[in-house]
Amino acid sequence: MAEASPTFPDDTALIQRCLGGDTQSFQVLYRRYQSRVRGTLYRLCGPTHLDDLVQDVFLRVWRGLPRLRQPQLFGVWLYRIALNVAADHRHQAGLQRDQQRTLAAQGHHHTDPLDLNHCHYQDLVERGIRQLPFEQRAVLILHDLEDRPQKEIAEILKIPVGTVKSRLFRARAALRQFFADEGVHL
Amino acid sequence: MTTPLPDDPQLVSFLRQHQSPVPAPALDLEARLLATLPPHVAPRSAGRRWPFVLAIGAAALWGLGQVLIPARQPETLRLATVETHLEESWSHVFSAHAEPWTTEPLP
Repeated sequence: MAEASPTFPDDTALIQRCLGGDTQSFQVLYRRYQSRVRGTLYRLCGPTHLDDLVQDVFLRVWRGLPRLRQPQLFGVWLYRIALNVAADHRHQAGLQRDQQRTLAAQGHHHTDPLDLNHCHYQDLVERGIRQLPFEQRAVLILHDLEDRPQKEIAEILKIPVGTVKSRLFRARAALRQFFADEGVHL
Repeated sequence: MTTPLPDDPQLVSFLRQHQSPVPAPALDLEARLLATLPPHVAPRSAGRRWPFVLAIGAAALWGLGQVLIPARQPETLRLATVETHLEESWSHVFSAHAEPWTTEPLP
């Protein structure tokens, strides 16, 4: 979280201004968090309607600010909203089609063997993560790819820390098995 | 205390190294978002109105009750009224001057 200063106000100060209808302060919040939210949504849901999902998250944030009792936990709350939006979206039929389109698009642009290898592994990682159950996928992404502490993940998902650990353990085991089945042994 | 989860640095490193890049947003996404924000955010004090609303409601109910439910008489006054009624009802039964209906000859 950014340190408070007149030039870079902290989240709590920005939220207070947003509650007064200050959209410029909301714009600062958006720029501060949008890439993180975007990355999480992309890893959870893929590229389909990514802009719409990001917009949905921040609209929910704007509308929900009056109910946020602890502004200092804005980051946790924001992640929770992002995961809810992702959970609502996860049954979209276009997910599978986009995976195939992504692979096809990547194959057309790279002829270097190293690039092809990288694309292959990228596709593998994408497919591996997507085949995980949503609950395991969320924990793996937040912990292993976004470096969130287990305690914070527990707060975001409203589950015990023990559950975070068990989901993470099962996710990693499932991924290793998936990669092994695809001929990649780590 | 829960058992610490064993690290898997190899897997984590592989995942991070081969993550797909996140697609960039549309150039006008931010502007579109800001344009769709509702003009006013609901005041935070909405939750603090409830005690005031409850107090008004309770006062209204009390006032309604005063109008619809007849006032109760004090207990002593009620008893006195009952006693008077009983005396008047039975006084003619024991009186020496019989009421007309007692001397009405039977057919």
